[in-house]
Amino acid sequence: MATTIAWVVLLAAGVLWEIACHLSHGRWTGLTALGAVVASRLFGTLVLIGIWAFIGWHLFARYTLPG
Amino acid sequence: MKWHRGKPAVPGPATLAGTMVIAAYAWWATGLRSFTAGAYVAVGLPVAALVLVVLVVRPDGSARTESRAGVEGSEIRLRTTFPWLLLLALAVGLEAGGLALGGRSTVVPTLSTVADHALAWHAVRFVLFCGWLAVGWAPVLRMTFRGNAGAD
Repeated sequence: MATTIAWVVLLAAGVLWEIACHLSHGRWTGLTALGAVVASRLFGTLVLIGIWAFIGWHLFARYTLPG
Repeated sequence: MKWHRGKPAVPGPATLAGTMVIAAYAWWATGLRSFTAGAYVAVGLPVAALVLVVLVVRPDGSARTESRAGVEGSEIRLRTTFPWLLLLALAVGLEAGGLALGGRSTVVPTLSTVADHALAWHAVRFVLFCGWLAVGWAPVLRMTFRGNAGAD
């Protein structure tokens, strides 16, 4: 249970930090800004799409219902 | 959809219809049984469509250049990204601990095990699928609309 809470806290911290980065006007780098740098080249765009596809398949085609 | 500075964008009938179609697709896709060919294809279709758009249509190369210049201007350094590295290190530590205990431990679950509990509900899968679609498609759509606006 404690680890589950830790995961939720980590994910929430990530979301909150991304919002904080947006509000910092460039003082801190958000994931969106990092993604924009990577996606500025075609190869980087395809790598990001690959990561996105992996997450999609892992979550929605390969999930296991807890029994 | 038209974007006007200072005015909230009002979605037109085409946008609403498109949203309804995407929502219906997301509901159908997330209702399929996992580990089936249908489930793989249902996730693969938006991926294939996005790759096609990126390779064939090439949405707004100028926007790419502009975004790169803007980000490089704000200087990405270790100092500005270390909170992400810290979060990543914590996540890797938790995941490694969970995997070391066999991957399905209830005491130290992996991220996948935690996600599986949430994914037991169709509504949660639907919301996450819509979010996943948005994360993948939003930057490309933004570049496309920006490119069209620039062409006007």
